[in-house]
Amino acid sequence: MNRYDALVRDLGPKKFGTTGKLWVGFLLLLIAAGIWAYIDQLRQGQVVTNMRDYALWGIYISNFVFFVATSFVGAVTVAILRLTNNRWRTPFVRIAEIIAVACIVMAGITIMIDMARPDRLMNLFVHARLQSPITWDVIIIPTFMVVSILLLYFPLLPDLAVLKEHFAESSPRLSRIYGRLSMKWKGSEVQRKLHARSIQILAVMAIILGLVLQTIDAWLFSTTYRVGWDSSNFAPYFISGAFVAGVGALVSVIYIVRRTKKLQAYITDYHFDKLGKFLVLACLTYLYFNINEYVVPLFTSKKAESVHLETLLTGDYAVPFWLVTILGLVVPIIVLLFRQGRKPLPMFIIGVIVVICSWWKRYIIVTPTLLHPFLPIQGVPESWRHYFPSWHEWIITSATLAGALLIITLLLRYLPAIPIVRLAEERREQVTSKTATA
Amino acid sequence: MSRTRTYTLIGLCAALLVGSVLPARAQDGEKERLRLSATYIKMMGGPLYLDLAASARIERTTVEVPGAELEVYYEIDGEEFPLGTVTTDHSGKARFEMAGLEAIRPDSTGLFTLGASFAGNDSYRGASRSVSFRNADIRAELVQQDSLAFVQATLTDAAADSLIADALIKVQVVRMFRPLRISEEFLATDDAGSIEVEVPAGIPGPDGMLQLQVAVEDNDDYGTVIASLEAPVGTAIEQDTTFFERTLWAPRDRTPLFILFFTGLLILGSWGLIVYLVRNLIKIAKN
Repeated sequence: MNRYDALVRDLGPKKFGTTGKLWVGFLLLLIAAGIWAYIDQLRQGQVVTNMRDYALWGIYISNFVFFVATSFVGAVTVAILRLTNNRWRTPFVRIAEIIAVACIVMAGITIMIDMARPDRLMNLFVHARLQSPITWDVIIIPTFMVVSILLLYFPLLPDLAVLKEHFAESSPRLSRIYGRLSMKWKGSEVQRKLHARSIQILAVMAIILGLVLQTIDAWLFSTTYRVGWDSSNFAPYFISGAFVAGVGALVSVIYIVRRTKKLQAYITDYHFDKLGKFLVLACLTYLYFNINEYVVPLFTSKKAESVHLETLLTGDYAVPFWLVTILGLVVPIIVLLFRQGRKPLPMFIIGVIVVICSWWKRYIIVTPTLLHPFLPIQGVPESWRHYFPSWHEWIITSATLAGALLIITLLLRYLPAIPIVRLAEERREQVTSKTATA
Repeated sequence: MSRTRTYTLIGLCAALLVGSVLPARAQDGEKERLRLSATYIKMMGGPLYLDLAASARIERTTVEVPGAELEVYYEIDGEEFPLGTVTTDHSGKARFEMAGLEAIRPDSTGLFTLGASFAGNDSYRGASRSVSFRNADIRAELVQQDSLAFVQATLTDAAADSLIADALIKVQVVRMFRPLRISEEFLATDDAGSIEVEVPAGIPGPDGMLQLQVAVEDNDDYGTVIASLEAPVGTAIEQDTTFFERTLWAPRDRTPLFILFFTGLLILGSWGLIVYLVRNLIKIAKN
């Protein structure tokens, strides 16, 4: 295994420095505040949120949709690139898999946070109606979670075996843990066949289940007849939006990992350029669906839909709507069309902006519709006509985002950010092919 | 010179700022005027209500005033007798209920006066509103003539024991959001204080039962008086029985077969493959 030593030194687990420790401490602080706020929410009930009779879905559901979208793209991007055997995927495929796991885990937790009575969680299964998209969601999220974990775990097996050998002397305890997790991987012919077949199956499953997951998520909204949601465009609209959010998150995390782990030699400008083209394609597709979603109803909508559109385009939600559309879609498209815009730093800035705008986009999808119910809002306090999250909601939501970042941070602390064995094999193949050519 | 100018300018701005804030503060200290409205409602064979509403005119807009504590009283010859207190809800409304008029006394002419007063608080000045009325009764009954149904009603002054002629009255069916009027728009009692209104056929009701009301509303002398009667002359509402078939809105044991099939296939297919993959992991470990 000595041939991997150089790669393990560069890519293998490294202890946190001061910045890393401060970062983890900061995330733990946010999570602790979120747990405190959640306990208070459990004790007092959801009266501590600003959700009421009309805005009965708020920031928690927006956050849930955001996590699902990001997770979907992490897994599906990896799966597509694996199936099409794109070599440029290698340096960031592991990071995408980690993002997928972190986000789907937090999506599951977030939806439980939204439940006023989590003690009744089992009722979702005991009294499930298979006709309801909610039930489909309850089924698909754990399924996708398991598939995402397996999609991360299977390709890790050879690397875990390498790490076991690497730490055998320097850290026997860590070596034992890696050894157990590596499932006694030796790289035998039988193991390789099983491994390759399993990853192939997982890649296909991730694409199918990812599409099902996003479609169900969209149908949760579009089967309610509500203005703003009652659209046959909604599932592809959600899927294309998920690609924007997911690739944006991927770019941002890759940039930070590259910088903190000093992986400039492995994740190069070439990879950012490829990801930039991918992101601009995602943004263009999503822009197209946005035009379908908002422009056609401008001509055909009935009164309720017109009022809703007016709220978005020129009314109460106009500022976030246009900010999200221009900053989150139009600007990235323009910047990323230029080669200079696809350099690492501009890509990182665009990635962060895209992620923030994608989060607010979910907020704009969820909230304004709820404030336009079928029957007029009457006989309720004035505050019920509006919705803006309470401090409890902000703290808990920040904690879930911190939770996702903590999972990503810890997984990247203990696992190689780039597949070691795969990279070594690719380099060997390159050398062999160059020799053959010479 | 320029420094002096700058100081002068800053001073002027500060004076302007203070000048614009101070009157606003002074205005903030002023209490608003509370507007009260009172409506007397008598349900025949039921309770009496004094419906109260509190509002205020703030910045050229009428706003409802919730949480205003109102003291309800009755009045005889200028003397007030307390009956109880009510507090306005989030829409600025409150209802005071009485079992009957026995609890209060009329003046020598048979005129009752009910009122409500607000003592005032940090935001609003005190206010009061009273309403005077005579006690009226409505006797209503359903009459069947040649397969047609009619509501006959008589309006009487209870104190004077006299019939009330030329009073506007309406006959309506209780519906979910607002009553459905079935009498003509301006129907008045005749000299005998009576009316007769045909109940149109085909009005839906549970088991064909209609809740009819004969109502005198906001009468200057008698307030609002409502008599209710049940009439089995409507069209029975047919229950939607598709709930018990295999539909999207049916109970879970009536799930449409195609949903059962496809969802089952997806669940079994996915989890079957997951089991297979876990088996592969075990095989990798054993190899």
